[in-house]
Amino acid sequence: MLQFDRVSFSYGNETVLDEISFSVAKGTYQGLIGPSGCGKTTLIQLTTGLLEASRGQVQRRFNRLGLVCQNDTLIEEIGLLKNLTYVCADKDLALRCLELVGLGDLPHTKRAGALSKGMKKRLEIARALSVSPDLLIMDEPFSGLDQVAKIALIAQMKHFLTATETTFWYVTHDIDEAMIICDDLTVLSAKPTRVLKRFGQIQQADKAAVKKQILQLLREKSCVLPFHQK
Amino acid sequence: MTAASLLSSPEIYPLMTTLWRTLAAFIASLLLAIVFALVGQINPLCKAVIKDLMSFVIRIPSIASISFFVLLCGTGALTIYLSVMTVVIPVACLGILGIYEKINPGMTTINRVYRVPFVRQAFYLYLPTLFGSFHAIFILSYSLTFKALIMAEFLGGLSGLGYGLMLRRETLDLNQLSAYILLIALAGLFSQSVLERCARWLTRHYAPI
Repeated sequence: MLQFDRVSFSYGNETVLDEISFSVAKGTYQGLIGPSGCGKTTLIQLTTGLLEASRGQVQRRFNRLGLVCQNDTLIEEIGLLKNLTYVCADKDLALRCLELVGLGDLPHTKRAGALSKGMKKRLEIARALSVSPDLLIMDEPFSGLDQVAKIALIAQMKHFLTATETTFWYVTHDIDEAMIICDDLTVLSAKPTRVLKRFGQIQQADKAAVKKQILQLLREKSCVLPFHQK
Repeated sequence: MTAASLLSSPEIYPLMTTLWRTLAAFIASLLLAIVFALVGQINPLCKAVIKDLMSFVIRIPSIASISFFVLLCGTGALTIYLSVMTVVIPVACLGILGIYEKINPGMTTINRVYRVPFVRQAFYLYLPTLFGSFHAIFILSYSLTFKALIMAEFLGGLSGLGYGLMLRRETLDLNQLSAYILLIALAGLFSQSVLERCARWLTRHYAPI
């Protein structure tokens, strides 16, 4: 569905990505882990076509892409439903997506700017789902959310993804989050970013051992991790 | 003073003429400024061209544009409208472009990823964003319209408060001139206050959070 083949990218003289190769297979829940500032968002921009690779190839074999960005990307001046119909023509589907993320009970005309941070994230997720994506990309969507809201949202997300068989690519620097959601993980190094290791089909029983391995790997490469993961 | 005597006053006609012209020139200028600013959002080239054009026009002194239109169209209403719009459109347009530069850059990503048509971007993103920060531009543009219009009437008009001001200057009576200046200032203040209330009511759903 998505394949990076020896992809390199530079901002001017600074090499950000150095010969990155990995793929996201259809129907899988892929995780991409790397230290902050390693170029994860750049990889997403290469996927969306907002940036072009300096070298190598990005093969995109999907029709519709859903994207939840790290920062707020809502139109705060308009209502909940209008934020969804901004990208999706099907009003009924938009209403179903609002229900799915638990915002169905709110007045649909309530302005997005008046929502709490957690609700805004839910609305962004609903917007991404409302286009019925083949591939759903989430770029650190839960940063800044409290633990309770995060766990509730992750559970809802997994439920939806299973029901719709959507391919899911989850980009984060938080290993715990990635371990909860994803089956396969790709670990990136600090800049110039390379793929350190790939973990495929991680079973529940192996998750603790895999986490230990990832932390060990990142420490060896002197990557800066969030405090709670050290 | 009764309402009947006020309405029969010889000053009511130029006052109403000026207020009507101000309103018409203001609305036309603002609409055109919004159109220019929206066109500037199509792509970076359009934005650069419109920004440079407006930055050029804004530097033309209003006295120069009035003189130009007097020679081009003669004295009268058309000259007044064109002169005022030349002054107001660049100010309003650059103000609106300034608001748009504050739009969340992440929305550019969303627009491209979801291939949102430009018309939908204009109606859902750019216009609501504009209304949220509309009032500062509104007040500035209206004050500028009123002042530019009085000057245009003074130099190129055949009626209105600006034309009346010119006639009173000819009498060399300072008291009469002072009273007339006071009337102009009060008319501007009052009309702006009424219009501001109307605008707040019309854009009440887009009030800043």
